[in-house]
Amino acid sequence: MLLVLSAVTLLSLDFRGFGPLTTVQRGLRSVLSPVRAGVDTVLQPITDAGRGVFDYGSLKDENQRLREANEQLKGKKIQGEVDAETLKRLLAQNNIPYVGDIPRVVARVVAGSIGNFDEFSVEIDKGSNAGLAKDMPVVTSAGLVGRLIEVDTTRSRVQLITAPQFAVGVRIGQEVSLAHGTGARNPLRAEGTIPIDAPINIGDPVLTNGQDRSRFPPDIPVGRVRSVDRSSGTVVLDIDPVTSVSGIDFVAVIRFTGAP
Amino acid sequence: MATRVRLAAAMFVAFLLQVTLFVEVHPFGVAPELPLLVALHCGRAAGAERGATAGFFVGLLYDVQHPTPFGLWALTCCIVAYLMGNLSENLHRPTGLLAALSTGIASSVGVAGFALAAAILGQSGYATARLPRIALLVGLCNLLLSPLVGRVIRWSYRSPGALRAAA
Repeated sequence: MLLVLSAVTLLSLDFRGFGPLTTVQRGLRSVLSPVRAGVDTVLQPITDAGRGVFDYGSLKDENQRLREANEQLKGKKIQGEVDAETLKRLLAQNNIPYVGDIPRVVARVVAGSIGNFDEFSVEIDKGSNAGLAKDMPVVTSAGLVGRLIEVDTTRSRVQLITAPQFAVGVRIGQEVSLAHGTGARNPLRAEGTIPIDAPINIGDPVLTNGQDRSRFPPDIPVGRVRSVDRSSGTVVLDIDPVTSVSGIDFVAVIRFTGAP
Repeated sequence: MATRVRLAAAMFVAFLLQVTLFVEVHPFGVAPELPLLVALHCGRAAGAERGATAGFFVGLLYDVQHPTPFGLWALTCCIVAYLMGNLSENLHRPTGLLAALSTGIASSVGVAGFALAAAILGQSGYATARLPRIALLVGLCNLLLSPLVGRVIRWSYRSPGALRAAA
């Protein structure tokens, strides 16, 4: 009974965001991090063998190479489509401050999800030692991947764009909305705030809008409109993320902590 | 003292395998839940109370790395170890294939309980349509690993006091 009460107390403290508990957790993770890295290295041959047996490794690698090449092309195309002059006008109209050369930290994805339920996060090999902080945006060359949700000294955890808890302010043409993840292999969804007669079409590029103390700087490619549903009297958009979140190897963390 | 050291070492190894090897290797498309498996075997080997204590600590260790609310795995492992210990003490102490089968079933129940508790606590992505499949396959993985983990846990408790408690 005492143990159950202890566990419930810990849960309660965690929900209240009890600072010392978070600090202890972060400290323990930092202590364990080099041990995990060492064990990872030692077990790499077994891991590779296991993946070969269960994941058909060669096919997966080939798929990943093709996916990366495809993403780069998609990202370039989206960026190219947004004409610079139009962008300037839009920025002026919406009063969005343009964020120039924000420093970025390149990181390697070192671990996927832990357990069976955390399928919407990955771990990267950079942490607060590299200047990272919670909520910083994470991108690839193609576009937005997610944001940092846990930052330890040498490692961080990234919540992926497909996570149901993920939300990002987006811009489609001149319209702005809030898009949220809907789960793995599903598109993002944006609903509300878009006028029913807004000229949005399938295939339109979707970028971050960077408005209102957003966690994300403006104009990061997010995806493309997959479908436009006006049947319920409001506009509901399904958006195909520009970046495939499965099998990513390297990411860049933008050291941006919110619009001014 | 030696028992505690052996048990702590076994728990730590299980935890490390869970957060390294089984992050990448997913037999049947899921990762085995080794901390849960260790907790179940602790309950079976050492009885309800000592098993629950061991389950609590192995779950707590897993909570450090797992992104769910801190304490949820500790709660789950503590309860399943206690129930397994109680069943073993009062009803039946299975051996061989029956022991592995009951561990597999208990693992499925534990995983389902964990996911439902997470959902009750407002965590999305746990009690989904995938849950029955995950619970079944984790049960299968843990069933296959059960003989090995069972041996390690029995070795950990190999001391006069622990053997008396387990007898």
